[in-house]
Amino acid sequence: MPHSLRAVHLFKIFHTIISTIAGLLIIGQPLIASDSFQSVSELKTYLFLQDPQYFSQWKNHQHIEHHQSTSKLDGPLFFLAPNGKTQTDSELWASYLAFQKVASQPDLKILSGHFNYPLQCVFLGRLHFFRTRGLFKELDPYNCPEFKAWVEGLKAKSISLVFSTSYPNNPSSLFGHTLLKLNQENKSGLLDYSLSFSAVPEGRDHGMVYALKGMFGGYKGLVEITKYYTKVNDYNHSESRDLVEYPLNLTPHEIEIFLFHAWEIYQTTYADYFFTDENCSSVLFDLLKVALKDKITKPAYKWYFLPADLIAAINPVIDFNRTSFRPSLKKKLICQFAKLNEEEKKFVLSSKRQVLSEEKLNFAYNFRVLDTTATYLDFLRINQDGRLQAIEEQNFRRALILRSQISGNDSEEVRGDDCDSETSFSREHLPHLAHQSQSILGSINQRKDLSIEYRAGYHHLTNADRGFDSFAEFSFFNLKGSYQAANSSFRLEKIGLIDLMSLHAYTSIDPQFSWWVTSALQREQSRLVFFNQISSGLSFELSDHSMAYYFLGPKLILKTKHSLDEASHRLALKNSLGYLARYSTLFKWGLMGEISPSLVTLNNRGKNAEFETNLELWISWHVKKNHDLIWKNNWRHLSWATKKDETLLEWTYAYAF
Amino acid sequence: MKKVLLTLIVLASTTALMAADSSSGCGIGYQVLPKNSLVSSFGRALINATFSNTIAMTLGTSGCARHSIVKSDKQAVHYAEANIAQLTIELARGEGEFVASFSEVLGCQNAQAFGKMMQQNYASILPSENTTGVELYNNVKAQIKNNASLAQSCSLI
Repeated sequence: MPHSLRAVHLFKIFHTIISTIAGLLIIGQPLIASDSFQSVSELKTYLFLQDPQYFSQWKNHQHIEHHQSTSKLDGPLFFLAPNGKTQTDSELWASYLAFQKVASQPDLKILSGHFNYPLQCVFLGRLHFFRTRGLFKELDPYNCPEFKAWVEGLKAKSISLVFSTSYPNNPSSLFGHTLLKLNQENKSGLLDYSLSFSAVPEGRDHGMVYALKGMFGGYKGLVEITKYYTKVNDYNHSESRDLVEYPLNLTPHEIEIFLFHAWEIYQTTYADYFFTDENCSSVLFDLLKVALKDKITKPAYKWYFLPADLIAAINPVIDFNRTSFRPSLKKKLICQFAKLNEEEKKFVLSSKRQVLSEEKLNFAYNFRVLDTTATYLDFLRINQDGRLQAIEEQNFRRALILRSQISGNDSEEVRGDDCDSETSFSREHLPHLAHQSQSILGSINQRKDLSIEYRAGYHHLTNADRGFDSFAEFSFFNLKGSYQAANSSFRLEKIGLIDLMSLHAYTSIDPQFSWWVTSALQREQSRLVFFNQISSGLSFELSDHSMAYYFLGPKLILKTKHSLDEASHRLALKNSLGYLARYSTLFKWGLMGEISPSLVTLNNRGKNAEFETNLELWISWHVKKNHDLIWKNNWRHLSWATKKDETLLEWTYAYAF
Repeated sequence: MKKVLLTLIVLASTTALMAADSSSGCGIGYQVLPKNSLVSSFGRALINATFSNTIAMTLGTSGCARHSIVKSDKQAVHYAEANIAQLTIELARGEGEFVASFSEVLGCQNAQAFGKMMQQNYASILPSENTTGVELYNNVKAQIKNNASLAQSCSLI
């Protein structure tokens, strides 16, 4: 820039500052008019004088992280400047010019967004940003009929965060899901609207493909607004997930700002979906951040943002005293079933296989039995891909017809089904009680080797069960290194990619298999091996506090190096048997065994039919939330090794943060 | 015959609504992912089972409306269609959260009386295991009209 031009430019900025300050001091209003800015610098100066925090708030509007300059939003219609995604100032200036244009020419219609509404009726979030700083007061959002109809339809008086607990059959939902409920002033809440951000598969991907694309990118994520009862249907009913509702303390003004911004996002954009940090929870956080500003904070020390992290991040505005939850269909069924005697239970289960005769139905002229039969067959229908066999359908219908004949006059207890109410269920699993989702573990063993481990997105068998369903294990990344006292050296012990153990209690009403998947680079004897296993099996709940399991499945070990003393690459059949228990909320313990005969071994010495045996006993003391002390004793036998037996005694302290 | 008529009515109203809708597709999902509507894209069997595209478009639900707000005169039909599974069970009991909300979208002042009435007429309002949400809505409406006190209490009928 030539010196003369630069001088003019600096003079203009100086003039803007002086005139604005003078205006504010003298008459409380800026002297410069909203249409008088000649450059983004002038605009920024003006905005700064209006509100020194304006820039961080503008970045909130653009979904730009504090220390970055690129928006996480990807839909091109959201950006008014060609380079608006990466150039924050350009987008600010383009937004100003666009509003200035429509403000100065009321007859001009610039159509924007997915549905070609007038620009000033689409970008309501940023319009509010300017209006609260003294600009474009003449552009009233409530002059936009579409927005007005939307707000009047939503009737949002308050907002709740809804947490859907994990859906064990779907790996991509292991960490739960979050959405917002826009509460109206009605009685039930079912008629409210929900707002969520979800990945939208473009094809018909299922299972692992869905999970991988969700994790590493490949889907677009959209804001969806729909009746809350459709969400209750999806999660609570079809997928048997609890819905936990956390009311938020938001002022009417904050709700209004939230709605302006949500409308703008809904009308214009999407975001590429990433499981770790551009997911259902992080986008909801960004939406709320616009309204709540510094009241909520995202932890800077986490490289991912899971549903449980959202609860922690917006903790200051959650009214925990009014937390409520809707038990899943499965939980309701288990509750109803538990209230029946043995004969009644047999009756309910028989509705799956045989026609319920008049005689049998007369026996069941009892609201508890009929209600449980109906719930059971409803649950069965979902597990059978939405269909019942002809016999089951007939029994379902008969049970309901008979049930409709039991009214208050026929039975004293017809209103006694408390399994619909949350009061019948423990609140121990509510997610805000859970430990943090990443942790550091420090260990020492009997050889005085020290190790340190980092786990991300995890819940381990040894952790306190508060906030989770009992006895589950999952982790999507962990890293472990150790200091070997014997030879004074450091070494890598493990890089864990995925570890999911899902223990479904196998019951007569829900005879499901359990499963266990592990993939890691880890040490076996002194070598690093690539370890993969996938097992399926059965788990049994022995009491409210204990569980036993048996798993069977292939285990593939790929070696990074070979030596004469060790088996090489091998495929083994892994048999795992275990018993897990907890005592009060303070202690858990487990006895876990494994025998894995090799099916195929590429052994340098030509040996086959090798086998590996493992037995581990651990006791965990939950010192306090986020703090666990674990004692572990592991005995291992490798039939091919020179030193066949190895025992490891280890103490570990785990801190979640 | 009744089903055929109903289907024709639904198709006719759909065509009318589609004609009135100048957008090229079906809601924001269509705009972003033209090959799939949002409703069908989510891959959830239940949504597909509960909301056929025809019904969703008729009712102006999330996939196809420009602002996702269910039209007030269609709320009860939408509700019945979406919640047929729960209503089938709760109406037999004559009570429950889904019954109470159904009563609310029909504008009924007395949810208890509504529930009791529907329980007593369960076989009529759900005449078969294949009763659809729209049929349920029509049958409930007929029952309300036949009952003087309920007809007075339910403002949206």
